[in-house]
Amino acid sequence: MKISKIFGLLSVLLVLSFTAVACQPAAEAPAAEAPAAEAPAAEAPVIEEPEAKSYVFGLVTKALNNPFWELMHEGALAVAAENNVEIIYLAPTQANNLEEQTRLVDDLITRKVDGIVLVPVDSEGMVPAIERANAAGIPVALANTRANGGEFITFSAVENYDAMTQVAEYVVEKLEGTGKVVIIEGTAGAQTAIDRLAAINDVLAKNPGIEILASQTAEFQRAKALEVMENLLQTHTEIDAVLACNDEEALGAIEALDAAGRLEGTVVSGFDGNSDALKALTAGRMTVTMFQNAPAQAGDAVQALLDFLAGKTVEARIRTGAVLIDSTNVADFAQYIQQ
Amino acid sequence: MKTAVIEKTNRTEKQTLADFLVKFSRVGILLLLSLGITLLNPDFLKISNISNVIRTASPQIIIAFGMTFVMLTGGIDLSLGSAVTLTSVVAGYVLTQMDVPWILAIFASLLVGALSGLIIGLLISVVKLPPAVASYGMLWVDRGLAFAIMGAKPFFDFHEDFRYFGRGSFLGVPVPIWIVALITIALMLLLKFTTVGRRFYALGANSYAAKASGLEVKKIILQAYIFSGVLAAIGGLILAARLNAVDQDLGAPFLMPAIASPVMGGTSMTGGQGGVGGTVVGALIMIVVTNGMNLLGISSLWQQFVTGVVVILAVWFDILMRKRS
Amino acid sequence: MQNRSKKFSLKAFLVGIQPVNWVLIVLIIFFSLASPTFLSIENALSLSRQGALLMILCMGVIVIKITGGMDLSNGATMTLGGMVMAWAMVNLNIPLPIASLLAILTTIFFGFLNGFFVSVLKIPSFISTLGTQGIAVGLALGMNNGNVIGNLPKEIGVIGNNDILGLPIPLWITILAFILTFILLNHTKFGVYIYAIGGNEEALKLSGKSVLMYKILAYAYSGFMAGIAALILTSRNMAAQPTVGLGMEFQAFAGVVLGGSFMAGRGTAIGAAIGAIVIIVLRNGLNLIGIPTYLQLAIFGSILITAIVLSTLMEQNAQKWLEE
Repeated sequence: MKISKIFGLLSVLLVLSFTAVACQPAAEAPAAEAPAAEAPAAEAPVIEEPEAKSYVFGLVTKALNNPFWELMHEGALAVAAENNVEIIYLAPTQANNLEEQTRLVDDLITRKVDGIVLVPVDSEGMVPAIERANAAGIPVALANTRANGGEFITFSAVENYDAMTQVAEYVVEKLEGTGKVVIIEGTAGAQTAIDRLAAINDVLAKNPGIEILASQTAEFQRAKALEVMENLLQTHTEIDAVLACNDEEALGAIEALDAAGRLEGTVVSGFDGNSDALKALTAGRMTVTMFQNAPAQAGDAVQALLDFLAGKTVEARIRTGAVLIDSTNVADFAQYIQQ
Repeated sequence: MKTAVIEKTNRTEKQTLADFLVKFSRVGILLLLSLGITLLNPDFLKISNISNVIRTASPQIIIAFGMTFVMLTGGIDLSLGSAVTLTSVVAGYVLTQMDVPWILAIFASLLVGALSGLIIGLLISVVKLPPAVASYGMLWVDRGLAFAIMGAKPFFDFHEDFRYFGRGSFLGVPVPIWIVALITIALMLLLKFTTVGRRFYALGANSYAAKASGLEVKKIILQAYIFSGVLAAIGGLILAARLNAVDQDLGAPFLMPAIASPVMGGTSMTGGQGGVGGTVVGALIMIVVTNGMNLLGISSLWQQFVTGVVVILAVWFDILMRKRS
Repeated sequence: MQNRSKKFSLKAFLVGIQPVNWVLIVLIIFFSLASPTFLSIENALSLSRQGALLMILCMGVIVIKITGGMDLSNGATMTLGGMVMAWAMVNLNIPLPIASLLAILTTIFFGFLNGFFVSVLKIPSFISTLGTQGIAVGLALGMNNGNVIGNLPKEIGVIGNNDILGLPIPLWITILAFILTFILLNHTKFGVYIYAIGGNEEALKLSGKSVLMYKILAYAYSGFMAGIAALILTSRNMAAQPTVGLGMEFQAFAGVVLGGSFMAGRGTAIGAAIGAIVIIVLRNGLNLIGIPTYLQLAIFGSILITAIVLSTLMEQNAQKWLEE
């Protein structure tokens, strides 16, 4: 009798997990059982190439806990669907973990995918993995974050430095050249974080009326930014602006400011153009962000892989257009707001 | 505050006085630390700072209570971090993906927490798995379910009224602090004055005697772990309300403080000793140290180092004091 | 203390096989059928490079687990070891062999620290290793301001990426680590004492032997393994990331538990190795058949719990079944 109880328990557990598996949200890459792609029958391939080859690409992003990566995933899926391509989407369960991402790339290599779109967790640390892909003859397209080595057919991203410069200049203008600001940095060591921070610092250096009260990292995460901002609010009674290195951080800072009753009148800037950030802009809780066009970054990378495999020339650097968004033009981006 | 005395165990009156002294030494550490930090940065004693600190720490404290219960019975709940994640993800799901009154999110979250604890309790009492192993298995199950429910996208932007639990104030005091205070009092009363509570001590202190005296060991274990799951859910709810978002590893950082706080507060990992009051002191020591480091401008990079040292020192000191008494 | 019956009985043999072995066989069969690339030499070699870290950490943890303790710090100390090594090579131009030694010394030091806290100060191993984890993490982060140390000299890549006699070096190292642990646990006095501490620490103390010393050595051994893992990790990535190993202590624990070491005094090197292999195979197989990452954890969790429960059940009922 004891044993049957236990098996009952086990089956409940297994049923629970498989139910969860079944409850997958929409916009999903179907799990394949063979390398050959199973193109959704309903969508007819648009290309008129003589041979409609079906490819399997791997997409590896940095983490699962930022909606930005899901936007990239959707962008990749959109281009993939039009071209009979299957996307295998993998990301480290522990955000930004180098070892996990290396393993994911290695497994894709073993699986002999036709191409890999990679967002390197670390510009140095992922080089060996990229080189292994090169050695295996699998083309690699980088998106969003550059790598410092290895061969990649293209790098599709915004120019972080230039884009963040625009944002920082906007903030300075909003402050009319004087004020006290805090900077919330990105993940230490990430190239995107380094570039954006450099942009902020360079702009602020040119404006002596701006005083930098503090510059701390929140690892691009909302929860950490909330904590950091709360601490900063304790130590500094006057904060005129918060410059965050991505939207998630900005949103975390906004929650802290709001809870302390100091959101009104504080300029908050982010970077990415997430749905939640767009909502915050519309509601007047956030001042400005830079739309990175995540879907285009990934989509262009996928397209580059396709072009490469078809023998066409590929641009080495695809500059994704970034657009500054504030309350005046946020309505134009309504399509990117979810729910 | 005296530790609960149960007739069936071998405790003498002399020991309760010693317990009192030991407990005072813990509070003493807390006071000393606070004094030291205030001397270095008077901002520490600002009401806004203290209020902020306790509000931020409320999930941590509540979750540590869950661990306290479990440790009293001589066990441990390694799944707490993931339970926090799972319950808050469930709440987030109900709040954003379902068109139902927001209060259902709270019920769903508590229910899931209770279920998770129930399963652990069953694994321990029926299948006879060691608590560390049983709860460890649930760590992965909870984590996996949280990931599966959430998919690749975090949930965010919750209902205004729900967020009140994290951001609101009542009579000038932040809501999370009210919640912590109420729960602390309720649990203290539970542990001291109700049979349910005192049985935890009995089981932890001497499981053979407990069994022999007819206590239903299975029920006690189930209760302890269900409490733990529910408390984890409450902690997660406050967290979600404050953050206005949930992501897939929201609860992971809470496991370690949840283990350290009760032990620093005098709850023995072998069971039978300790309590909620001690856990509050233990949790506060850790929180005060972290806040102090922030106020003193110590880089967050080094903060884990200091926390690690503090935990070891506090526990060692506690063990020393207990030996003396 | 060990029952080695000389008679061979098929039933006893089958019942004695840990469920983890069955789990492994089932997984291998499933993945071989579901993915054409799983059962290939290439994949096996890739796995041996990827999985070396986990295996080696498990070899360290099993020794501690048998004594009834836990090691929550090995992920962090491994990370710190990597940082120390990289820092030494980049900033002080220290040659690879000495830098490697530094890494291992660092992790062994933390191992001794753990042992000291647990044996001498009598702080429960959970708390001790939690504390040292924080210390190691803090050091790793603070060392280089949270930044990755890159630009390592090319020669460092040898350990993790090259082959000897056709097999990857990490594989050789893993095999050596396994053999070492196996011999230690099964054929030395050290092993006997380790099992004795796990089985009945009081009795051992009474018999006058130095429980203290052996416990400390157990933790130091885990530190040693973490150091070796650090070498392979840094080499494979050609960089040291201050947060790279965090979380691996939980996977190592899973591997050891899967392998049958639930309680003090129980567990074997072979079991831990197989447990580690199960995890490695599972991770790899799920990637190969294209299961999205966020579902993989759920599957992993269910398999883990199923294996654990089955193991316990089989053990508890082994006597009953044998007597049928």
